[in-house]
Order: sequence, then structure tokens, then C-alpha cells
Amino acid sequence: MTLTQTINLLFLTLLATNSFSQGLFDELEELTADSTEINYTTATFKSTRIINGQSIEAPAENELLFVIAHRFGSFANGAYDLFGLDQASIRTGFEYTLPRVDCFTISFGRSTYNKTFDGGIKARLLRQKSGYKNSPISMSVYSNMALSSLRWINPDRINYFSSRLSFAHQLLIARKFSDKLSLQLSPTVIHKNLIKTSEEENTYYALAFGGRYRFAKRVAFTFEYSNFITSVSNIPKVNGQTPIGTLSLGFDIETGGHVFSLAFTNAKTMFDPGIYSETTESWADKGVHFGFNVNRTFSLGKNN
Amino acid sequence: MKKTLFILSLLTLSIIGNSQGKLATKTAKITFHSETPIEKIEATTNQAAAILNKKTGEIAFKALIKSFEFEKALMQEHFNENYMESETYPKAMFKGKIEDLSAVNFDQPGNYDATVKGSLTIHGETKPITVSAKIKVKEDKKNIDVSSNFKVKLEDYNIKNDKIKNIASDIDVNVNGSLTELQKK
Repeated sequence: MTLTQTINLLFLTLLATNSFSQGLFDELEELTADSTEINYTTATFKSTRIINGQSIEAPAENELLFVIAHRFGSFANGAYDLFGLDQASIRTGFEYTLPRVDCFTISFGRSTYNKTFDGGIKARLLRQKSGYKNSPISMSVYSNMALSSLRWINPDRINYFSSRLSFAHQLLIARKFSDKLSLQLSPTVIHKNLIKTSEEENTYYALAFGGRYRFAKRVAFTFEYSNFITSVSNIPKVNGQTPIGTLSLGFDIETGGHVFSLAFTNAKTMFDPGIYSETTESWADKGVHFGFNVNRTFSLGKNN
Repeated sequence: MKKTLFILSLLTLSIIGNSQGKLATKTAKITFHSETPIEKIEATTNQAAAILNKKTGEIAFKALIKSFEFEKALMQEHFNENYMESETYPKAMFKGKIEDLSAVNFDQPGNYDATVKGSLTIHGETKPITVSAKIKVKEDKKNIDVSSNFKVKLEDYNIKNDKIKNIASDIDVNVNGSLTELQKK
């Protein structure tokens, strides 16, 4: 054996032993490197609404969520109305995610505004995830049907039940950018069965954009903006006024089993077709309402 | 040519020689529980990884925080979001060494008690820890069960409890793994 070969051999053996005497922990890392684990993003938002509009979130499988949403009157009349506190508009609702199919949520609510009942379904299409499988966004579809149960204004004419109905359909696309920041885009289709004039369209389109910034562990700043894509002249008027977009600013405060959302918003209604079709007051005219949502979760069974 | 073969076989030998004496698992079970008058919390993962070097007595564990499953989904969310901050600190790790290695005979099936001294990393904080472990060498000597019970103090790992203290300040942790001889690919 020549000297070079001996050196070669020595070097090789050294190299070999060297790479094997790596820390046991590195070996453990290596062992789990080919793991097929998927890291699903959770808690993109703290509740199932960003403020008024739906968020990508749904109650966990087999959990019942009870939501009390409350909006005071607007600031428009100033101190005379105690800045809106004299009036109240409420929606109480339940949301429930079906066990076993865990991506399907049904909801039901009743609002004082126009004595409206509403029912919704939310289905999860895509979850943001990383690891073995990747997706940069979460996506859900949401549909809500609202039924105004007000007495007919003209009971003498033929009134159709279908005239009471209005609909909102949404695609919810969200991304949790970090522990703090989450954003969501919600293209929305609104349909009203009953409209007053032929210039108005039954079906029109809106786009909602919202997000949260979690600045403390249990407190997040939330915001939401929506506006119409359809030309405003074609949008059905509400009491002679043209509906406008909504702007909402608020805070989410989480306390164990409850999430409290406090918000300022120009949307008076809390059911989805109403949010995007019945809002006529503007921030510029002090048409802002203070309000809150209280979310309470009830676990109905074991999480398995 | 012969020399190359010799070198190669030497290398192969050293690889085999090295992978022997190590046992591992990817499905170790870790359970913890906390009990206060307000709430009873229990969570389990079956996806912890563990490795043991028979020769040196070195042992290491790793678990993904997000893999812990709770009875209630909301507990799991709060655990990840508010207590463990699992996006920032995704793993819990233990790295240690069997103190009295001579007392454990890996070639003799049976039950052994051992003291493992090492460091535990949770929530980004690493603290020294000494735990007593039970080691069971199975009949075939290729499988070894390792189990241990110990307590973790929340404040040691900078995990903030609620003001109303619905979580115990000392969490009971139970680790259980069946390690099998490691096969190099």
C-alpha cells in the first residue's frame, strides 16, 4: 500500500466515522424528515364572522355556537339618542358543524330588522396547510337565505311567499399570513326576489375585504370593507335610498369559551343578504352604529 | 481494485456497526394532564419520535406541539394559540443520557429502572431535567419499551397561566415509547 492510499483510506474512514458520530438528535431529525405530517393552519380568525360578514372559520366538529349580535342606533342624532344607545337591533343565531363530515356547517338566526329569519350553510373547500401537503389559502363557500316575516304592506293584492326571500352567496378566500395578520377576500352575489322597478336588478355583485391584526394574545383589531361591483343605479333601493358599501372597525376579545367582538359599523343588519343590500347610512353622515357580537361555544361531544 | 473493495467494505462495516445499537420509534405516546377545580384537561399525541443509543445511553425525544389532541377542539385551539404559541415554537424536545447505564443490560430481557438526565425544550425554553424512567428489554432484545412520568412547571418554560388559573401550575407528563432497532436505508 502506497502512502497516498493509506492516507486515502485513513481519510475515508475518518469521514465515515465523522458523519456517524453526529448528534443523536440530528439522527432523530433525519428519522422524521420524511414525515407525512400536514400542518393545518388554525384560528385564522377568532370567530365565524370578521365583524358582520362571514369569516373562513366555522365551529369545530360537533360544537354548537351561540351568537348574540347587537347593534345600537347610529350616532346621527347625537346626544338626543345618547349616541344611538336608545335604539337596538338584535340577531340571535346558532351555528353547528356536523360531526364526521366536519367541513359542513349549518346556521340559523332571527333578526329584529324586518323580523327576518335566516338560514345558512358553509362548506369548507380548502384548508391552508404546510408540510407534506401545501396550500397557501383557505377557501369556503357560504350561502344564506333570508326571509322577512313582516306583514304584507298591501294584504289585498296577491302576495307571493317567494317575495319574502333574499339571498347572499359568497366565496371566502383567506390567508393567515402570520400569528398576527390574517386577511380575507369575499366575492359576493346578492339576489333579491322582490324589487320595485324594472331598472333595478334582482341579482348584483359585491366584494368584501377584511382582516384582523392580533396585537395581544387574546385581543385582535378587526376591519371589514365591502362595496358593490354592479353599477349603483341598478341596485334595489331601500326606502328610496341607494344602498352603499359597508365599513366596520372593531376588536375581538377572547376569554376562554367566549369571543366578544366590539365594533363600529355603518351596517345595521346582521344577516348576510341584509349586510350587502340594506346598508344606506354612511360614516360621513355619522351613520355609524356601535355594536357587539357575543360568541359562546358549547361542546356537544368528544372531539374525535 | 482490491483495495477499493477493501475500503468500501470497511465503510459498509462502519455504517452497519454504527446503526446497530440504536433504536427508534416515530409513534411514541405522550400524554399530559392538568387538573384544577375549574377544569380537567388532558391531551395526547401518538406521533412523538424517539431514539436511543444503547452504547452511550443517549436518548432523545421530539414531539410536534400541534399533534396533541384534546377532548374539546376549543381547548386545543387555546393550547396552540395562547399557551404554547405553536406557530413560533412548533416542537418540544428532550435530549438526555441514562445516568447509570451499567444498571441496564440491553442484552438481557427484563425490566430496568433508570435515571435519565438531560434537557427539556418547551415553548422555546430549555431547562435541565432529571427523570426516572422504566426500561423494558423485550425477549427478542430488538424491541425496548421506555416509559417515564414527570412534572413540568409552567413558569419554568415561560408559559403564562390565566389569571383565574384554570390550568394547574404543574403539568403531569407521561411518555411511553416502543423502540425498535434502527435499520439504515
